[in-house]
Amino acid sequence: MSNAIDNPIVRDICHFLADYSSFTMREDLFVGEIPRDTDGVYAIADPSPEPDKETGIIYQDVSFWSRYTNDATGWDKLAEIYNFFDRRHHYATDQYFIHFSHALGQPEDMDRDAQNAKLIKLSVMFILNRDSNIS
Amino acid sequence: MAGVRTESNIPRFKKATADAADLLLAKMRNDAFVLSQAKVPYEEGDLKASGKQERRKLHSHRVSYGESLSDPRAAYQERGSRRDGSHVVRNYTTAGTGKNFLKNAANTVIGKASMYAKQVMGGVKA
Repeated sequence: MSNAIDNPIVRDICHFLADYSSFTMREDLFVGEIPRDTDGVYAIADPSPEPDKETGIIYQDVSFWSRYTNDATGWDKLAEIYNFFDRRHHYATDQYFIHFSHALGQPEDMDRDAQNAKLIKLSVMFILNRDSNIS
Repeated sequence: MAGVRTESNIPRFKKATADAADLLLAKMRNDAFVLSQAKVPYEEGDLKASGKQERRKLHSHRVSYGESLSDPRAAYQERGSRRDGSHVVRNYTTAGTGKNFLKNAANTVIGKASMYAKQVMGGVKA
């Protein structure tokens, strides 16, 4: 099983983040694996709990990995994402309705990559349904 | 006198805990894979592209490199030398990449095991 590079939920969430924050898609916000030599934040789908059998509610964990040669920038970028998503509720992306999102901890130092850029990770859980709110 | 009846939730709790432990390991596997991809030696990209992660069965997860390559040098790249130590890789093509790319990634993730446990085990319900 390889990484879910093009997970539609993660892609949707990133577009939402780019629409309402300082991030720009494919400039400093990307969906998928961390490449070489490019600073930015990379959203990667995490293994997640199974959807609720009765309601169909989806629990999607997403990891935001910052990869910056300037350490402070990496921490600042993830702090912005933390403040944006933590305890945010009732908002719609292009294809999903997100009931609640919350951080699964604080940003974590995850060592450095091959070019000595700092890697930091923040995990966020999104609780959502496709298309519409539950009445 | 009315009888007393108790219902044990222990089997359900055991299953929920086992499932959560599997999810915990899956998250650790996924992060070890992401980290190793950032450190894997890179020439033409074959070794990097050969990386894969898989869940083999409950509580058994795996990250591997080189299994799909016809040239079986992945272990050599990871060790940084031949198994008998007779030849040591002195220069990796891409600066910053090197031996133990997978071992170091796994160690970083294992060192944060308590963080993963907090993320996952908090959701276990009986």
